[in-house]
Amino acid sequence: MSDFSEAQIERYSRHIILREVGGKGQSKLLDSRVLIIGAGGLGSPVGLYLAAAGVGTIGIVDSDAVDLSNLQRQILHATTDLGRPKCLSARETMEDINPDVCVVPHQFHLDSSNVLDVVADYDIVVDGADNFPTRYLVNDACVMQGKPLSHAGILRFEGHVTTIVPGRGPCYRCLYPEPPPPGLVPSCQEAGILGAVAGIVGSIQAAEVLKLILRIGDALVGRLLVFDGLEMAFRSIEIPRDSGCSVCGDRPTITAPIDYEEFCRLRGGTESKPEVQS
Amino acid sequence: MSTNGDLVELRLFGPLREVVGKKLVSVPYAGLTVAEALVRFADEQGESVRPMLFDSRGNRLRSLILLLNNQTVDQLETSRLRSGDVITVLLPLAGG
Amino acid sequence: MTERAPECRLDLRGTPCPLNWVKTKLRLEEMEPGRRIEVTVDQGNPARNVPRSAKMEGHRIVHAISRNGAVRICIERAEESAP
Ligand SMILES: [Zn+2]
Repeated sequence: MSDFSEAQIERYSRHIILREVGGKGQSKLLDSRVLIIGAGGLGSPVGLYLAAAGVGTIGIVDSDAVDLSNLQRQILHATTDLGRPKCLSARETMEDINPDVCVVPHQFHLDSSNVLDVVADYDIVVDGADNFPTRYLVNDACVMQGKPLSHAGILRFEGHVTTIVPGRGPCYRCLYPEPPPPGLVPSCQEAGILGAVAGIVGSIQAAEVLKLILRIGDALVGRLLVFDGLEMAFRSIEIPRDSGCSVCGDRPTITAPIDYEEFCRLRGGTESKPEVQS
Repeated sequence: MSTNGDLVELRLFGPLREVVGKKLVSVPYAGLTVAEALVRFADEQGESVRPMLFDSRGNRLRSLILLLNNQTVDQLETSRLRSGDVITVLLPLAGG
Repeated sequence: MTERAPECRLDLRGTPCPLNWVKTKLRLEEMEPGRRIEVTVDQGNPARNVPRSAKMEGHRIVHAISRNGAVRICIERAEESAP
């Protein structure tokens, strides 16, 4: 006999009705643990949909406080949250939506010293970070621990999404072996972002996570989905795993998490001339 | 002088699209390799575009995804472009 | 014995759509293939929707009997309900 309460049966009825979900699938969701990196533009829709879906334990890594300029897209937070830690604001919003969900705040900066410990506690990781150092850090940690990772990046009207399942397809470094030189790719802070684009791309990440937990459908493994919000078009690009990848390849050279600064020093050390950055 | 028979298209995304100001650029690069086409493009577009494709020593950035007709290109140095080909250039996005 | 007795009975009179089907489905998931459940639902939409949903998931409707404004539906669990 299922151990759903009457309220749960009603709350999750539209899931349970789905042939691919059912009561068993809903139980899997309630038993699962997902880590969201960043309670920002991507982390907001992901957090909202995972909480609403009844993902039982959701960790949130964010060391920032809610700023007025966040509210145009970061829909986990409200005007009354200004100045509060995003972790706590996010927890309140998500637990309000669904009291079945336990939100675990990780209110610190992720770096090479703590990333493995944090990731180890979860089944699946969602990258909604706003900077390259964190993205490489999270990718490397997930590959090292064999954790599936939903990756997305957004800028202006554009979004990229892919799902990384270590051992089954390429990782972030297979796509982009090294981060671009600092300053080359602007941040949302510099170049702007249409709030709804974050919503679209983050919602795709949420759907990917739910599918992974439920083990249904085809994940975006080996595919990069490129969304162009001005054209309103999606392009799916097949990306092979790189057997020479420095972290997931046959002979990995990166075997412990490294910080971006260290990464840059490593590069500088192997090359004769320092990079000139504009 | 170019004729239509020489034209290939460059499909640009992200900051590259911003800098060039177009999402699709027609260029008379048929016959070049993909690698040569990128060099030519950087030469023609000038200093705002070059750092998005090459580092200061002229090496192609390792943070680019290059596609030829929506497929990843294994042989950038040898695959010759044909009229009507589309090169897609993607840079990673950090925003979240 | 030709007619196997239902393994369980659910009285879902007064339970609206689609909750009547959701509760039926949760029970079906717990049962072995080939076992039967008898659910009693209200006439009208529930009596139409519950069997339709059950069939869509591959279960077999053994019979549906109307009596006193309600319908008793006997459903036999399919081999595998997941697609
Ligand atoms: Zn890799």
